Order: sequence, then C-alpha cells, then structure tokens
Amino acid sequence: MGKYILKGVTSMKTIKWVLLGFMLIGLMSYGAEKRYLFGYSAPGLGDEGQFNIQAGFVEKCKELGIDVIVTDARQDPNKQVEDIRDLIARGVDAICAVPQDSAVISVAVQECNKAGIPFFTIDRGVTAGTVVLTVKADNVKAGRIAGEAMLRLLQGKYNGLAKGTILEIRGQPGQDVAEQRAQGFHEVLEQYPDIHIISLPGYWKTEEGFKITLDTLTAHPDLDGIYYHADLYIPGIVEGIKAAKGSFAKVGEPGHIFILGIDGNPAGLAQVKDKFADGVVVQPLRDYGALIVPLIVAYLEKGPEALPKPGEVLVEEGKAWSPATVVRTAAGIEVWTNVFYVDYLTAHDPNLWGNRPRQ
Amino acid sequence: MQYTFSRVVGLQQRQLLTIILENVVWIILCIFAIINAFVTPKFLTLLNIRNILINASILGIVVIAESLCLLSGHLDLSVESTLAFGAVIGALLLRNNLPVPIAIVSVLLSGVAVGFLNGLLVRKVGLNAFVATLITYIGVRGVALGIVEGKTIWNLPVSYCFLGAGTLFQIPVQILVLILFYIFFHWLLTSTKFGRHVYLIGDNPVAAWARGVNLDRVIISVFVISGFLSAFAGWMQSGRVNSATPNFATGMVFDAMASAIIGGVSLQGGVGSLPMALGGVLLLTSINNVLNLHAVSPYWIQTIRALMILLAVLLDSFKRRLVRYAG
Repeated sequence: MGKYILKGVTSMKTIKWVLLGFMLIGLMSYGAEKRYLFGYSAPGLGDEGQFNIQAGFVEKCKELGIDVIVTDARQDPNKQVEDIRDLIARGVDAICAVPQDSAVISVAVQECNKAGIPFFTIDRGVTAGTVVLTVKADNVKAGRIAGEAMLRLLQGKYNGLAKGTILEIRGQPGQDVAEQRAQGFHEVLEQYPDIHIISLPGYWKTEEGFKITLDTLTAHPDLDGIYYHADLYIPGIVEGIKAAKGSFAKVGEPGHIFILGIDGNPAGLAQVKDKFADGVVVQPLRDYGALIVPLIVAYLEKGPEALPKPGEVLVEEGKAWSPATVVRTAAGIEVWTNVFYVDYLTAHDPNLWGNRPRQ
Repeated sequence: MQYTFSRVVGLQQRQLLTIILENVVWIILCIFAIINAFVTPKFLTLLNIRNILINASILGIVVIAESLCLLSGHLDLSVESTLAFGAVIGALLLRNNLPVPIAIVSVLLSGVAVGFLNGLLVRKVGLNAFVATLITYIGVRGVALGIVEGKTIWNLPVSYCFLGAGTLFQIPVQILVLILFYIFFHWLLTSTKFGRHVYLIGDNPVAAWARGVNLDRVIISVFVISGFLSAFAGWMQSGRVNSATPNFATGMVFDAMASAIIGGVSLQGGVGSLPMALGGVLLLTSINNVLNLHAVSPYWIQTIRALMILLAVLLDSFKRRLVRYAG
C-alpha cells in the first residue's frame, strides 16, 4: 500500500515538472521574436529579370530572418493560381506575387482575401481583389523616358526634324506593364505626326523579337529605330537586323538603326556597352524586394497605418529605387520606383544591378 | 464503247481529284500567297520568301519530330522543352570554355537522352505517351531552368552560330538544313523498312505486332529521333539569336501540332506525310509573316491568327469529306 502511495507522489512530482517545463518553453517562445513565413509566387524564373526580382526578395527576407516559400508558375497563369492556393493552405503570413496574368490571378487574390492573408504584388497589378500594396517601376515614366530618348535620336538624325519610322516590340498585350510602357512612349511620340510607330506583340519571347524585326525590316527597309519592352528581345533584334540587312551597324556607324528599351539586365547593359544598343531605361528590379519586404513586416506588425500614404515620396540615399512615389490607383496603393536612362557613357556604372556580380 | 470511255474519264477525274485533295495544304498555301501578293506589300518578294523560310526552319524541324511520333500513334509534348534544354546545355558548355564540337555533341546527346527516356517510359514502364512526355515536358525545362537559374547566356562563338545564322552560297544554312532534313526523313518514312513499320504501328499496333514488328525498338527509336531533332532545333535556335535561355520555344508544341494537323497528319496515327506537314509549317509561318507585314493591332493579332488557322482546318476537313466521296 505504502509503495503505491510513494509511486503516486512520484508521478505527481513528474507531472508538476513537465507542466513547469511547458510553461517555461511557452514563456521563452513568447519572449522570442515571431519568425514569419512568407510566400513568393513567381510567374516564371526563366529570365534574368524575374530571377533578380525573386533573388532580391529572398535576400531581404534572409537578412530579416524571415522564411520564404518560392513557387514558380512557369508562365502559366492557371498554375500561378494553384501555387497561391497551396501557399494559403500552407498558412503563410503574407503572400507576394509577380502576376503572370493580372486578370487570372485575381481569383487567387480573392481567395487570399477570404483567408485573411495579406496579398502584395511586385512589378504588376491585379484586376480584382484587394492588394495591400504594389511595388513597381514607374512604367509610364520609363516609356516616356524611352520616347524622349528616341525623339532626341531622330532629331539628331534628321537635323532637328521629328520624323521617322519606329518599331515597338511590346510585351504581352493587355498586361499592365506592357500597356504602361507603351502608353508613356506613345504619349511622347504621338505629338509628332511625322513619326510613324509600328507596334507588334513579342509576348516576352526572344525568338519573336527576331521574327518581328526581320519581317518589319522587309516591309519597312527605311526603319529608323526599335523600341523594345524588355531586354530579352535584344539578341533577337540584333540578329534580325543582321539577317535582314546582311550586317549590323553599331551605334555611330552609318546605317545604324536606333535601339533602346527598358530593363537594364546584364545582357541589356552589355549590349549598350558594346554599342549594339543606344541606351536602356533601367528599372531597379533587384531592389524591389529590399523595398517591399520591410513594408510587409510593418503591415503585419502595425496594420495599414504603417504603410506609406499616397502622395508621399520615399527617399533613401544611395538606393537605385529612390526616390519612389506613393500613388493610389484603381488597384490600390502603389509605390512607383525611380527609373533612369543609361547610355554608353553611363552603362559601366558598377552600382547598376545589371553590373553587379551574380551570387 | 462509249460506256468504257466515260468510265476511263471518270477514273481519271477521280484520280485527279484525289491528287488535288491529297495536296490541298499546298493549294491553300498557293491561294494564300496569290491573295497576299495583291493585298500585302512586299509579301511576294525574294527577300520575304527567304524570311518565311528562315522563320519556318526551326518550327519545321520540330514538326518532323512531332510528325514522326504522331505517325507512330504517339504524342510528344516534350519537343519544346528538349529544344530549350539542348540550347541551354550547349551555351553553358561554351560559356565554360569547352570546344564547340564537344558542345554540339552534348546538345545532340541531351536530345537523344530525353527521347530515350520518353521511349522507356512509354514502352518499358507502360505509361501513356501523353503522360510520359508531359513529365519530361515539365521536368526537362525545369532542369534547363535549374542549371542556369534563369540566366540568359549570350554572345556564342561564330562557328557555333553558323547553323542558325550562317549562309552558304547566299542561302541561309537553316533553310538548306530544313530542305535536307525533309528530303531525308521523307525518304526514311517512305522507302525504308523502319518507315513502313512506323506507319504500320500508327495504323494498327496489334497487326504490326502480329506481323513480327518489334514495337519496342521502333517506338523507342521514334522518340530518340524526336529528341535528337528537338535538340538540333535548340542548337539552331540559339545560333539564330546568338543566345540561349530556358524560356526558348514556350508554347511551340502547339504550333508544331497545329502545323502537322493542318498538313493532314492524323492524331490517331498512321496517316499523313512529311511534305504535307511542311506545307502546314509554311502556311502557319506565312500567316504570322502577313500579320507582321500588315502591322495588325497587337490586340487583334491572336484572334486573326486563330481565324486563319480555323479557315485552313475547315478547308482540310472539307477535303476529307471529298476524299471519302471520291474514294
């Protein structure tokens, strides 16, 4: 009988110690900083631009001690919806996506809203659903800068007259980035009736850049310039000119066709440095993550009050994205980062993300 | 006597009708060219015909690969991924300073390996060709993406780019390769035992087996050839644009299947020929060329392309009905 009583006392002691242990662990966890888990949904990682946006996001998360799950939709809008559903099921704290298709992704954004997971986007907006905040380059401004640069080149060629024929190789028709890059460019050049713009969609494919250049040079052998929506078109453009004309005239050589566009990735900058292209409007792709990740954390910890307000200008010394303008659009609050033109003289700047060595 | 004469004339008319119907894709192409000679500036010029052939060459080689599989009664979805994989492998080896011949051999071997894997999955593991090649379609592009991490490799050696961008006697090499490949593979399909076995298996695999055809050997060979041709097209594509990215040829499998089907290659297997498939390639490429020459609005270009393909397929379907009537 005594044995049984002793056993009972021992078990009570054990239970007390175990309970105390749990309490201590609980207290320690409470004291420790909460480790966030973010979801990042890439539209595809097969090009330099998307790789760098994703790498910048993951880098900043690592720096702040945040875990990230990265998914790759491989250019398939439906897969991206499924990827986001998986991230919701995984119970991530926040999701950040670069939409492959602004309309299709809206289904997933609405599901995310229902699940109470804050949704952020980079580079592109969405058609429906609530997005807390979007970080993107000021694409209209980028198009405008490209238009102004093209105008200067044409005026230089034609003794001050604004005239000529330009080929515009677009991205995916309907996608907001492609539309805004076209809008800014057309805003500038459509003021000049003697400038004729031929716009064709390249669907963000290098090989389409080749075919469009070849066909357009056949229809318009007197083509003066080519404006592209992304650097990935450049190899196709250069080879297209070679195939159509038999040779390629570099910047400054007789018969040169002006080439400029938007992005500023390593291949794009190299083409400017080698005088294949006249210039490129650089968007700070690698820095999008550095800008958005702290904003996501601030939103999770302090709510909507922590977000920048429309009309504010975000400035950080030495950062390529600075100054960034906060604007309210139909899609919600957007932070539009700085964009700037780079030509042969400035393309060697080691601070440009396209010149930084890849990890 | 009069009865016999009318029978002979009737027979000749039927033969003529059959010949016309069998070559309907080329007739559609001719009609398309004649109309565009009037309505599309610069369409019927030597320079533009050269452009169409250049633009058709890479798709054309992938269509040979796809047609071989379709004729044997199998689908190959992995052709576009194998193309991108081959392009990336070659460019990566060159970037690491390996000699051009080694890079070329590696590109071609990468295609053979993917094709062999497809063949094994279909014949030895017993997977449906759609499922097997769907796996490699996803996986092979995934590997291409993984090994370069989305990077574009550009500025390839001139000798490596010769296949895609060089000329021989003023004629682009890729056009010459396209013609040679169609002649060789048409001969392979129509004049060799292997070719007859491909048609036989596509038409009726049980009958082929009953006649002693080694199904495993023929079908695996078809997939290996398909992989080889796709990787070859990858080499040509990277030479053409002097660069390589894992995003090469996204969606090309649909263009390849559309070309083969417009050319009369049956999805059920055993029916069709490579010259007709080439007609499909040229028709599809000419449609894209005309849309570019006209600088059609970017918002309507896809719709117009789809309507033109629909028209070609409707004419083909009309042909099939007439063939049945003539037969």
